[in-house]
Amino acid sequence: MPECISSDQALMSSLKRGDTQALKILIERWESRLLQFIYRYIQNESTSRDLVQETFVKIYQNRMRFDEKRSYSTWMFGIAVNLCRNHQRWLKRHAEAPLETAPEPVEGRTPGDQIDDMEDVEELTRAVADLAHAYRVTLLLYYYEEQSYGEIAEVLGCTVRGVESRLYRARRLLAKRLGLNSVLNLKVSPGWT
Amino acid sequence: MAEKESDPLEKHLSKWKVSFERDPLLSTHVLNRISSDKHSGLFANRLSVFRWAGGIAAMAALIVGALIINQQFKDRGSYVESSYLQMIDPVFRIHAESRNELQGTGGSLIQRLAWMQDKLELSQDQFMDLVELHTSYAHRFDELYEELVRLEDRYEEFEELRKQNEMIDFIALYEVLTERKEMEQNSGALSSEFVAKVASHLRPDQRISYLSLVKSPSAPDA
Repeated sequence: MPECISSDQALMSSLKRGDTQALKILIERWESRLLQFIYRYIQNESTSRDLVQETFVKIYQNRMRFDEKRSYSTWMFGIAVNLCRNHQRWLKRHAEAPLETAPEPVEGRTPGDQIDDMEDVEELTRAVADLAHAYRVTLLLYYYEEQSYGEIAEVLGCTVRGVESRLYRARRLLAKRLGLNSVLNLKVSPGWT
Repeated sequence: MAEKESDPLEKHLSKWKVSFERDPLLSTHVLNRISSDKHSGLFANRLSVFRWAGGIAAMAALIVGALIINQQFKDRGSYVESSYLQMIDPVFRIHAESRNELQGTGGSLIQRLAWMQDKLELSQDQFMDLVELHTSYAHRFDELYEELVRLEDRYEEFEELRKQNEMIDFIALYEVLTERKEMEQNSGALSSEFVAKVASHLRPDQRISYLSLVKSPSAPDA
């Protein structure tokens, strides 16, 4: 099976037929994006790696329930989102280590700019971590994973309108925390994009 | 994201770069996990096959295995009972979670139910029937639990908005609370139906023990 031309759906079909090589290709293809998404949600590298592994195990366990007409990424992010939520709920009951913030330096900037950026990122990560589950998922899927409203609605099990209003509120909550008054003063409707 | 750079919030968001090394062993770890789960699943399937085939040697091995498992579990008392209620009652599971008493769900279903065989003095046939019954309901209980969690998340969203002095849509909040109430009723109905089915596999003396076990504040009245 040539890796480059197999769609995710085709790989899932192969996996249903027992071809674990297909799972290896899916892992290869999606590991980085999944890790980035989960890390931005959980903000702890080691836990994020565990959850990535768990996501792929769940993908295998639930392979027969995957509908090839659906988007694979939406289905996969749905599984990851549930695992993140469960972990977050567990964490709430077992308050432990603080969030790990390791912003990457941005190339081509002066050291002063980079320190400013890192401070901004630390502030941002704290603000994102304080968002309620649905706001956080909406924001991360929309901005970093470039998922459409429809895809996010499928992940969260809500309507497209629900996604619009969550994104609108998530933006407002973040802007408030970050002191971005210009965002707060924007008189935009929930469907601002 | 580049096309919306003029948005100050997006400028902030775009600064958050995340890049990690890939885990070269991830595939191996995932496949190992799958393989170990498969063996656990095969074990359960084989139990069923052996039962119908009536292989004496296999059955003897099973009984020895079950005895070992029972020995491991029989001292766990109320811990496993609470764990069991969490398995068959999604509302109980949510409440246990909020009381910080959520039990682990590791191990195969046979391991997780092994204590019942000892406590209720089940025959091997009864035990296997009950394992099948629990397997057939497990997915529905998990789905209801997920739904209840989703509704609690929705409720927490409203709570967050209230804390932030934002406007709350009280009609939407009412809808969430109504849906949660309905879901709890559905959960109670499913648990009651399940308990009744379990009871139908038991002798009268076993039934009394079982029903006293599942009678808890949020467990179904059977």
